[in-house]
Amino acid sequence: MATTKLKIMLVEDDEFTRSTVKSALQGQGLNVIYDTALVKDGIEFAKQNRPDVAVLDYNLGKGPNGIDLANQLRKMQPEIGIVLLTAFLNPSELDTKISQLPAGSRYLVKHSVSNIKVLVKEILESSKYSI
Amino acid sequence: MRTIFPSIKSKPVFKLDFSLAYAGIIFLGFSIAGTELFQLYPDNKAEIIEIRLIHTFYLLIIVFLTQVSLRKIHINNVGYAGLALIGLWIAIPSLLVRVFLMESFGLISNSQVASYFVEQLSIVLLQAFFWIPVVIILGGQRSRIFEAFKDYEKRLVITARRNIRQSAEFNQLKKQVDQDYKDELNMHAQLLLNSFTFGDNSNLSLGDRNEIIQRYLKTNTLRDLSSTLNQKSETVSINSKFEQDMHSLSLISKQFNILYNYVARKTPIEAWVYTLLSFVLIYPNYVHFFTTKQILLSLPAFLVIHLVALQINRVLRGGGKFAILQTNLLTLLIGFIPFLEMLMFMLFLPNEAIEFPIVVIAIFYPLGFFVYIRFIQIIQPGAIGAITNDEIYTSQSLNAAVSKIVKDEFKQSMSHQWAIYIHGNILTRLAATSLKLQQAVDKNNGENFEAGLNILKVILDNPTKDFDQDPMNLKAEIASRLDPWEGLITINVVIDPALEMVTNDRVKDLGEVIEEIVSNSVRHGGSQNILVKITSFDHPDVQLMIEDDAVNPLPLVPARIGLGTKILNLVSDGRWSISHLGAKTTVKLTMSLLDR
Repeated sequence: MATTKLKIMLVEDDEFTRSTVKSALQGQGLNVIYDTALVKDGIEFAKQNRPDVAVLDYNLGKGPNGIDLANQLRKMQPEIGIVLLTAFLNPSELDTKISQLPAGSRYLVKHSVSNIKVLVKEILESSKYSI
Repeated sequence: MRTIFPSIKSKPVFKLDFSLAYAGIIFLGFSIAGTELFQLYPDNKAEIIEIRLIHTFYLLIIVFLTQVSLRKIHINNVGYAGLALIGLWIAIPSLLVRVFLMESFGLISNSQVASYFVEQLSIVLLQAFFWIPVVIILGGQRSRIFEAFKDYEKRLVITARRNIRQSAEFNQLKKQVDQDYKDELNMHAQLLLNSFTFGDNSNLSLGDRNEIIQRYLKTNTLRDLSSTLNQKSETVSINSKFEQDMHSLSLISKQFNILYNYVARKTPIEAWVYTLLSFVLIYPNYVHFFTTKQILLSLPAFLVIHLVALQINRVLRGGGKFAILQTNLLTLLIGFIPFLEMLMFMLFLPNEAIEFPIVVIAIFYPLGFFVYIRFIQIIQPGAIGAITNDEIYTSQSLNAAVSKIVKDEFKQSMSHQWAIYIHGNILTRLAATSLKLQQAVDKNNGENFEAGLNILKVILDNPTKDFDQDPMNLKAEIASRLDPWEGLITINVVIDPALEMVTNDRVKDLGEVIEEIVSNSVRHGGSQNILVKITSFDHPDVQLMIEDDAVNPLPLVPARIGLGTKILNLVSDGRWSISHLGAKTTVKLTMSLLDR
């Protein structure tokens, strides 16, 4: 499937960042069908619409983080591709609990969103999570 | 409060625990060997060593067999009479074996056997009726004694934590740490902001300006600052059982003098205890070295001991600034009385004088007596009662140790909060703005580029402005922490209506604790259902209870003291616990919510 036809969901708690990332993704020709600041809305949307890829911010403010949400989405929809947005060049600097990220997921530094197309392709080509 | 040695009238029952008896036998073996080698049989050292080794080994075996046999016939608890019988059962055969060995090794002749037996009998009876019951009773209650001290340590630490947290010094430290982090963040932000001036040149093309700014954004030091703060907050200490016990002992040793001083003043031990202890310690020497005449001549010393002990008791009950110093000196004086008595004999009755090694009579004995008395004072019921009722203030050194722990916890907690803030509020926005600039360049939109640049300037000009937020009321604070979990897990929240509108700085602390426990429960325990309950407790305290259905429940005693444990300790002054019941894990925490 061409990356431009993929249904992408974006969860990012900061409104400014969300709108910027969304327009950057769209600028890459990606089809962002839903964006939200709230974990519960993201889950509800995923239940109903089964997006192909979820782009999630690691730091979602108080409560669950991007990894918690990624784990839940993977449980609900094992084939979903997951891209975790971080502000760090080296994701291991984020947190010592970084190993909890579900298998097959990828990190993306926010200011390099232009790489997302390559990343999404990688996720799709991965045998376990191919769609 | 149950006493260690209750009165006979109360017909107490004691748990049979021989664990201290083994140590006592070895100690006794050394002690008797010392007297025999250097005083009684200095010319038969090899034989004495052999006899002592065989006899000590025999005693260890007989105690072990007694212990096993009693367990086998289900005798696990006995009264004072039972203890005395066990004492006789161990001590009398032990004397027979000893007499046999002494004769076999040629240290006493056949004709001396009967008189040696009679001579030793009273010492052995003292062992049977006094020392053996004492070590069995103390052995049976050692966990109670140890637990009482552990509990004492916990209470001390809780009180010290609360006092430190509420002190002006700590408030000053909080402000200072907060200001230090703000200054550091401002400095890094200003550095980055200044570097943008290189790209803020309208003579350059948008692409060149963007390249300069992007270069600085990608290599900015704020990211390192956030990482460093995060690493600082993740420092973990290992918490093995041994280390916990050592830590506990170290804190108690810091507190020992205060505990002793308080208890000695409040419930001083009776004068007869000093006299009896002196007698049981000195008695074997009477048997071994003194004639009846010498014993009679030395008995007045016990009257002196008793009079000094009465004076100690009076001084302690009377109080006064130097009461402890005076009684310490008087206790040492009692310890020195046998030495003084020996000197007097040598001076006035040289024919009746018996010379003991100076090291033993003038150093070991007085110091040993002093230590015994302090130990007896500490294990008194009055001491345990004072501990339980929080009547004892904390020592400066213990306060200093706890203060350091509290301050480190606070700094780590702040480090964590600032790391998250810089990541979530600064770096994320910088990264998003960086994207915005790139988009503006791609579309060759100068206006959007300038707008993006302005956003960068606004973020960096006052980077700390969103850190300090006005405190919310308890209900809103808990909702802000737990509502985001909706959809992932089910959380039921029950808050005492009287507490819902409480609004102060401590509310945020409680929110952080709840977030810490809930996220831990979900991430490490795999919980799906959590109950959070906040109830009024003993004013100004509230109690938090979090119950989950974790698949991998938390250990009852944390093996690692990570940030989570430190936050819990800091907020609750150490008053929290974990328990398991069936598939449920419950964390209970008590904290002062209404005092600040």
